[in-house]
Amino acid sequence: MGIFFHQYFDLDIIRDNFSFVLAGFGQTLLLSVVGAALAMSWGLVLALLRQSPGRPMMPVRALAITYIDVLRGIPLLLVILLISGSIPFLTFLPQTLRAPDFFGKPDIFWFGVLAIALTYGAYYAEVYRAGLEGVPYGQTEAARSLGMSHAQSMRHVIVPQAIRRVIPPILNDFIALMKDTSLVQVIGYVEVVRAGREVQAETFNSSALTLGALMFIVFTVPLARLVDRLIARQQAQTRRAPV
Amino acid sequence: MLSRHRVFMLSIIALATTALVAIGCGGGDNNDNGGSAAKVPKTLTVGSDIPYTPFEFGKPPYQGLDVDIVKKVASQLGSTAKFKKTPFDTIFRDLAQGKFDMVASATTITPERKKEVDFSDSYFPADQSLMVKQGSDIKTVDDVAGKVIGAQLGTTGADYAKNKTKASSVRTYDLIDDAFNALEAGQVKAVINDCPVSKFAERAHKDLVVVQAIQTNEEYGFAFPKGSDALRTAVNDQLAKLKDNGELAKISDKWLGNEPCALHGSSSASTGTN
Amino acid sequence: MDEPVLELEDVHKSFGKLEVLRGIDLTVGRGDVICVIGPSGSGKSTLLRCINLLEPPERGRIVLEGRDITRARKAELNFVRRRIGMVFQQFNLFPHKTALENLTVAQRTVLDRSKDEALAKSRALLERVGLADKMGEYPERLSGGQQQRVAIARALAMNPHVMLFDEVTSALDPELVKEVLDVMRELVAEGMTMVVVTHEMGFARDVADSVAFMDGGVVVERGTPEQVLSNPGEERTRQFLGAVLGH
Repeated sequence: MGIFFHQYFDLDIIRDNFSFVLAGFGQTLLLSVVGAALAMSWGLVLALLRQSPGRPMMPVRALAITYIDVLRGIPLLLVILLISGSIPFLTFLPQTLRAPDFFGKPDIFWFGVLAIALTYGAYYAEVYRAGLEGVPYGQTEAARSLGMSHAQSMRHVIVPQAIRRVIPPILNDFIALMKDTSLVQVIGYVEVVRAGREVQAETFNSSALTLGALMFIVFTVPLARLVDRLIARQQAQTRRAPV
Repeated sequence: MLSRHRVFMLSIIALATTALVAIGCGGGDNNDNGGSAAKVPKTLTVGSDIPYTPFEFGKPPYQGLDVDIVKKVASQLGSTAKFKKTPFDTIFRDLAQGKFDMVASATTITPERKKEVDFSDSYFPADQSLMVKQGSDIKTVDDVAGKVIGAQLGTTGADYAKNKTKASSVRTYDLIDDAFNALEAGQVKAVINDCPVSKFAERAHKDLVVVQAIQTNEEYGFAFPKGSDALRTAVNDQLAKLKDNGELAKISDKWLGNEPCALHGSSSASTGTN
Repeated sequence: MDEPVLELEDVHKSFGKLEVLRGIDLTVGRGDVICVIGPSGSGKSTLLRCINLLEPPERGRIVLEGRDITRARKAELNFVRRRIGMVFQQFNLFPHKTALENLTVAQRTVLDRSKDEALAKSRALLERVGLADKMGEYPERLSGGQQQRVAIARALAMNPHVMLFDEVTSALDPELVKEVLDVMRELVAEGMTMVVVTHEMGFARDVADSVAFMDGGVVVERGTPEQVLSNPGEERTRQFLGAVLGH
């Protein structure tokens, strides 16, 4: 039992490597926030494309559905490896895109962000779709009766309501996204799990991993409680809604 | 109907119990051979980070320089060697916990590692090397100053890259092949890794070339959990025999020929440090 | 001046295999108030939705102010919807906007009115329906009757030529029905052309110029309120009224 505590809860190791692991967690947060912002925007675009009405838009709808199915069907790890392994060799891309270096973040950061945005964009698209479909049809009828076009009714009436409804699942997916950023380590990016593993390899002790886990918990557990509160509040509102 | 609070607490207890049982059982995984009765177990489980060409690679039962040596030693001791694939960054921890009988993975003998595990006598020189893409202007280790370089997680190469070069950042990879691929893609400008392996990799990666062998005067050894002196001594005896009768040199020639960084390419293995 | 505002000729509408409208002929003159009554499933709601092309008909013609709008698309569709206002049974107010904003959003996006113009018009309309003090409230804070009055004001903000009412009091508690009917009576007095689907026979008797009884996707009978409500010619009408007025 003593071995267990020494391996995973060695306070000296935790203390000595605290700032290193914390810096890794900072990278986790950065990847998460940038990746999530892009994924949420791209997801909304995808969802709207999927809903575009009318016969001539059928190929657009079909493409959107295919994209969403494929990106939800392959592991994020594969997407990361495929992107990082192929982009440097795509000769039709300018060099600045093949080895991106924007805002001082290295190419592997951007490959990771891209992979996350492409994959989680698909998940978010489905969340938005549920939100859009959950808006009562009467809202569309009212908006169209007032003379609003499809785009106008989407923009002013449907989408704002849809987004309000799906804030809990969006936050839940954000927590999942945040944990998945650890996969970017396979292309060399040092986020919190990688930082822990590097300490582990050098000290033959796994306490830095425990530290990383604690940092995650400090962040994700309050977030999960917030989601619960939001869901409860929404349910109360629905019950109060007048006929 | 259990309240949410109760369900939560019960789950935590269940998980904690499972974890403790797993850790407790993991420690004593020396299978039935303990160490008390037989000096050498009938089946010798050998942990190894496969692939690390040409020391250990391929499909089970695997091939390579380390594989050949261990098979020879094992058969002399009346046992069969069984190689188990395992990631390199946790290999010493796992060995110390008794997950294998020994480790044969082109592992360099270092003082830090000796705190966790015991080593056999050395059997191969462990120089580092600097590998770059053809056409690079990096010729020596000094040239990597300010650049991004790569190495494998947990290796002495990663250690060297972080502590003995002025690289702007060191990217560690789980597998050395990932580092080579990153070098090809231009994501890292150089890779610091064991010399014979990088030299061998030139054959598969035509764009990559070793530009400098970095003498570190370190050597490979086989690793054992602390306290398995009986096995270690037996292996050392066999190793000495292989060195004397030229078998070791033959095995090295088979895989590396007269390449620099091979047994013949640099000063031959010194007497074992312990 | 004598040209009818709205003409429906042999309008058919199906949903999949189910034919809901089986040949509707209807003419509505300017300033006419026509109340449409009938059992549920008779196609009354569908009729209204065909008129403002929320549901385009499969066969037949719809003519609005002399213009055939049956196959209207895009710009022409907007022409239609600007001239026809609709109020729904479930109010369909935008819950994320205040009462005032409910009125201004379409004025600004569809009619391109300036912010000031839209606000002024919206305030005036809300005062007119008796909700001056509720302009900044969100729909969830309003009673059903108040929400429906906002819905009427919202439709009126677009300056429609015709107003369609789809059982607008059916979802209200009885004590809230009067305030909505009162607003509608004022509209009648102002000469608005209205097609009102309703169960409120008293209202129909008081203000309607004509009453049409619908059943099984066709207009069975049409005439003055006295004719249809007190002395129906058709057996089906009699049966329906017997059931409705009997309690």
